[in-house]
Amino acid sequence: MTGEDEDFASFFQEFYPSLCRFLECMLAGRSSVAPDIAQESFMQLYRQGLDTFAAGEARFWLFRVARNFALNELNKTQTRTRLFGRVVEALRTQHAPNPEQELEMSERRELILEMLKSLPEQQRAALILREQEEMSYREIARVLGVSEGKVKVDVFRARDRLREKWGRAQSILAKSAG
Amino acid sequence: MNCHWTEKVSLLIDGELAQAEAVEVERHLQTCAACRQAREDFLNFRQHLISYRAEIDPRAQRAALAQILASGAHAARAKETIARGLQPVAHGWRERFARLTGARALSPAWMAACVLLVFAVAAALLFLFNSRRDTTRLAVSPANNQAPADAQRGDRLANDKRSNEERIAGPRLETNTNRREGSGQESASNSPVAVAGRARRPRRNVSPNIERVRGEVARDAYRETPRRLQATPAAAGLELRAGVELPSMGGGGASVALRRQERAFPASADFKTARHVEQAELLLRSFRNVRMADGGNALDIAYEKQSSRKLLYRNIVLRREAASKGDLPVEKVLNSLEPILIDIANLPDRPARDDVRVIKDRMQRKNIVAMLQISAPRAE
Repeated sequence: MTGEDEDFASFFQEFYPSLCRFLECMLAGRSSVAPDIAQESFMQLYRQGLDTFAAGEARFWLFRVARNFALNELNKTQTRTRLFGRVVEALRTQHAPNPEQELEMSERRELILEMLKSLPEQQRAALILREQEEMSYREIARVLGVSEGKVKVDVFRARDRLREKWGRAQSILAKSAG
Repeated sequence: MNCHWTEKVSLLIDGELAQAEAVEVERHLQTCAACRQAREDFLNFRQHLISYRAEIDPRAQRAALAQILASGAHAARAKETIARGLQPVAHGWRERFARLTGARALSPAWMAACVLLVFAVAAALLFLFNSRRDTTRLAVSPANNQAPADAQRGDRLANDKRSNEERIAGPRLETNTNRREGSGQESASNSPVAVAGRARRPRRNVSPNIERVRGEVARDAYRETPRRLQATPAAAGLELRAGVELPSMGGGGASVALRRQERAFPASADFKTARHVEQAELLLRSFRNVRMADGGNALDIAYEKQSSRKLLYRNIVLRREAASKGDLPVEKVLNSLEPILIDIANLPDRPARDDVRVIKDRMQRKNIVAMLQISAPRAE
């Protein structure tokens, strides 16, 4: 392995999990394709060449590319998305080692994804990058290609919208448990 | 209910406020229950998002990295060579060859000259081969009443005659009507054995004129009587894959489309993609031919459903591979196939006739089976 490949492999190991997490939250409902999109994004980065970026820039470029791929995925026909999701979920369920355990573990994940799915895409992306990737507003603005002011507004509106939905969801869960 | 300070609370928890402003917001929080609640909710959901873990398969992660590195190995090496002033720096065959022949032997100019020389030699050989083949072509004779065993030869002779006639009278598009009303050569030259024989015969021995006529015939025949050609899928597929230049009279657009179809699956398409398309074609044919269960209103498509699910999963993977390689023709074909697979997989186990008919109609409108036929190289 050349030195360049070693650097790339280190970068890949470091950011692959967080990129997959970002994509799963962005795609919320089609998260099964997140690994594929993550791989595509890294492939683009590899073709671009990691050494062509200034320090720290590669990560922002990577997330920008991944987010664009995710947008393409989300923009596909609604019918196809709905049908595809049903089919893949059916396939996944068939192969679940322990369906009850799977349900318990995924309940919270599904709730989070449902919350995120209710947000407009820009607000969702801004919030995820802020909370999970701990990017500053300026960095988020570079990734999303918008102004810093828009990022501030999007993050706030996303949080505000989620407050209400999360509270409602929690109370429903509490009632069903009790 | 939000206080008008709530937005500043959001900025506060992100550390995006200047020092003075942050102090002011902190002071406000001490007096405003709504803003305190908002801060708590924001931080609460932050924890949920942070605690979210992606479902990552370690093997898949390693495989993804390996695939990326493997795909880019040559490009990276080439980049490195160029970046270091065109001097070979690694230790591959090029470097060893350079050491044998001298460092400048692998300069781009030298390599470009070699490539041009190879192309020139190949073009000259091809020209010589074609000219020799044309001069040894047999004299034409009628091909009526040929026995099936002689159908191949008769068919070649018949096409030679047709091509000669075209040179005199101008090219014409051969439709089913033309051929039935024509010279009466239909029975021998269009028998299933003859058609299959044409399909099996190596293409390189056939002259361009014959190829042209075949392309026209197959294209028009398929458009007009798709059921007939379905009986001879290999012939239809290979006929359409001839993709040679059609005559300019009314055929320009079709020839472009046909050539484009011929190049839909280049020789670089890998085996598994070819196999996948072949299996998808068989599935769609089976689905198209599904019949009503005896005495009932529901159709039994359990087999087609199961197959469709398996093929769907593979189609997604192959489509993404094609997209990552930039193989647009392959990606396009798989893109067209995927919605049909989804529809079939999503049907109930015993769907009503109308549910199936909707999908069949869509298949027919998209001509999906024909597209798979003419697209897929046979997996051998």
